[in-house]
Amino acid sequence: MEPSKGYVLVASNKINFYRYAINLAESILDYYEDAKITLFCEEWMFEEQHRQLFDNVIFCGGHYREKLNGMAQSPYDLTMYLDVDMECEHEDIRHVFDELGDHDVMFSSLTDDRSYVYAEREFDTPEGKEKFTVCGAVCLYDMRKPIVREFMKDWWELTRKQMNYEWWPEGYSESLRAWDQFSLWWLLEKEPKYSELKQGIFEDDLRWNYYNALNWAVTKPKGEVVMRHYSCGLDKDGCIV
Amino acid sequence: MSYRKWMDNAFWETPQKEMLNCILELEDDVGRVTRQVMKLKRTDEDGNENPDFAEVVESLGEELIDQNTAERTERKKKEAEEEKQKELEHAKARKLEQLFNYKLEAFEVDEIKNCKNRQLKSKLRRAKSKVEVDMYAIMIMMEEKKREEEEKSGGTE
Repeated sequence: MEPSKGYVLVASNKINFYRYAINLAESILDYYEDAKITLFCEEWMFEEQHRQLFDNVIFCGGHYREKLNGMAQSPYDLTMYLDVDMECEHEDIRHVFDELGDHDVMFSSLTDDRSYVYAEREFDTPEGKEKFTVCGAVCLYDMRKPIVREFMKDWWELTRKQMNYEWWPEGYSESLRAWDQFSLWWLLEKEPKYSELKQGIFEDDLRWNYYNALNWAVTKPKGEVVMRHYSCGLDKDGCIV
Repeated sequence: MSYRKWMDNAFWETPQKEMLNCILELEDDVGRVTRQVMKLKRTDEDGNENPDFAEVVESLGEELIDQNTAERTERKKKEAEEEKQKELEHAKARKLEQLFNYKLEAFEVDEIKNCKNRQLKSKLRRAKSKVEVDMYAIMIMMEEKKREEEEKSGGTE
């Protein structure tokens, strides 16, 4: 049986995230009319007129990192999670699921020459210096696999705990507590049960997560940009109108 | 043992080769090494030859200084081009961000938000400039107005 395939978007905490999510969903549909998209958002944000854009609308909590909860609850076998402050600009968005190959989960990579778009990348650990190497802004994963379902659940749980001051490893800077990048790094690097997780990096990964600021970086995608990420230049708290 | 030597990366400051930019490395009697960047004129104000200038040319050779100068000029030119390109790309990124915000603002206008014409909305989203955004925004507004009027007249018949 063909696996179900769809996109997961999550808007929580700030109304602008909902507006970005609507724009993102419409931009995906501009290039892929039959795309299945599930929106996780807070109930107070939702406007009924937007329901027709989505395959499912699921109300969620208002946690700043609610995205991880949404990711863990994806209704699709093959899921492409996208940060909502992105916009689709290429028809290849429909082919993204082919990128997974035999991986369990795929990310875009965080390399030295892209460091400057990230607020915090290098950090001290009791074992020495480390840096984040994968970026969780886009994530393609196979929810049919138990290890992936468990991983997504753990990523959400661990992030919630670290941000609620219920968990923190000794010897790590407090400034890292705000980042789901840290819980991601922890699970991938420190959690033995995920040593078996087959994680990969998208081929020509900048196509799938092109930070608009990377326009002036040395690295550019080989192919055309599919997903442009506006994260750096948006005033997420500001009034759009 | 102390010494004094000119480093081999000296270059001409002027095309007329009247001034040299060079580094003098000195070691004192207790083995401390210091380096001093110097700009040397060929002659002083009275036209007397500068012995340091002559020493550098003598020890490094004019050919090497010419070569250093050419390489440095080329490197500086390349750096300036890269900087210019970076600024250009930076400006482009800022412009795209502004355009993105402008479109989001347009999509919050009721008539545009409620518009069912996906094709026109898509064109607005793909607009490459504010003028283009405005153009499609007006088209959508006109279409919405027309639709409203048709609904109104249809309702009174």
